[in-house]
Amino acid sequence: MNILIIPCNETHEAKRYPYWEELEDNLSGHAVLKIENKHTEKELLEKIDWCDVWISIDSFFQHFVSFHNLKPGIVLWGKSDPKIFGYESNKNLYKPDKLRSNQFLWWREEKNDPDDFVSFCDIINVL
Amino acid sequence: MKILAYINTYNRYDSTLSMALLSIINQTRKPDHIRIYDDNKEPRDLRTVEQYDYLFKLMDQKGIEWDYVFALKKGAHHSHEMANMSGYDAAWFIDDDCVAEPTCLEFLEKELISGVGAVGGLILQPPAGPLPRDAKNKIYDMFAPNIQWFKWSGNPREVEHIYSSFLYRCNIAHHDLRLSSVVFRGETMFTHSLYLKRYKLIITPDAITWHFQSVGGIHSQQKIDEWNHDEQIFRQWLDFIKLKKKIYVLNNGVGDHYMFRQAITPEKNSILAVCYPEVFPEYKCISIADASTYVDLKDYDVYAWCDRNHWKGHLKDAFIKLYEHINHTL
Repeated sequence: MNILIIPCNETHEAKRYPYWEELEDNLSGHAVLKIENKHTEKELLEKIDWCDVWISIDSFFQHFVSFHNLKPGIVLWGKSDPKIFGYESNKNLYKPDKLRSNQFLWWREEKNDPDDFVSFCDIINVL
Repeated sequence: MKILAYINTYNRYDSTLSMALLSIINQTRKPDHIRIYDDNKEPRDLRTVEQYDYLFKLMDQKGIEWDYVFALKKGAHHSHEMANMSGYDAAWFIDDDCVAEPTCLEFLEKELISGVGAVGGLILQPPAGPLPRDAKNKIYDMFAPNIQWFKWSGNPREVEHIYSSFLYRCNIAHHDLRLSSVVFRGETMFTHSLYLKRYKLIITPDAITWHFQSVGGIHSQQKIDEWNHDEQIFRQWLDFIKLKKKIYVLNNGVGDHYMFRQAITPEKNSILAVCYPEVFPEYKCISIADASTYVDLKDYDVYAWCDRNHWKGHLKDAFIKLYEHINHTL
């Protein structure tokens, strides 16, 4: 399986998925491509075309994919609510009891808590 | 209401500045703070000048906080904007060649009720004549006389722009920093920005300021090119407003831009103020800074709107509802 990973580590720390390394270590047998630098829209479209599934966090990427009506992927959520900011077409992995009580405030006060996110095993199960 | 009173000064240490300052100190409604923005090329320490030392002591005696700011020397609009963003509810400024009657601020404040963005008074040069019939302060009739220049009485009047000295609500409209250091039309654009944001502008004939138009001042050393430059900006700004187009403002992340695109398809001739114009290649986009001269950015903040309305639905639907609820025609 061709898997495209978009960690979006430049986003706010509270949204960053903490188990990318563990996930990648457990994807042997798959072709994995990770996007870490800034890409043009054309490059992104090519890479999405290449993959069978993409994995990202709550970032611009899911909105970009949805806008272009491209293939769905897996979105890893922490404190933000996929029912407000996500798309049903994707597989949204999150812990409902970890969502922020007010979804619309600034993120500057929020800290990263690894416990907010699903484990890499949950992603492998979905794959 | 906490009111900042301020003066922008240039080259009038030895003429009218002290009179202007004394007129602020002697208001029946004391300002909460007095500030002087000094744009002089070679500023003096006025504490060492006898007449100013008296004035500073008088402010202390009357319990009025004050400070003295050595300004940016880029023009009065930069100082206006600093005052505008100083955290006061309202700000009142008078020019450094003006003298306000003692009741001026009291009458201005009386009219600054809910829904009013700015209140101006009469700016008179003795001897002041009667009000001409065609003086109305309409924005598209800029060549008509300004009603602030004439002596009249009666009820306050609603207008579309105010010039010179006025009291305004802070941090709602912003000064256009593209203007040159002569700041020609700056007050007109600023007050009309409040009007565009659905605030009333009022002129009350009870608030009187005398304008002595002394030599010097922040406009005196400038070239005709700068006046023309400012007039051109003003005319372009007016033409833009005249189009009465729909405006959409996306002062948020690139993901929000893509989300918005899925929620709303603006008409092709709409104006889009965005952070990421590449998401809207087929539209004419303007910057968020430019949009802030026409609209109140806070009205277009979808996250703040969701928070205020205890929104539980999808953000895509929130964009739709937000634009249903606000009048976003310029």
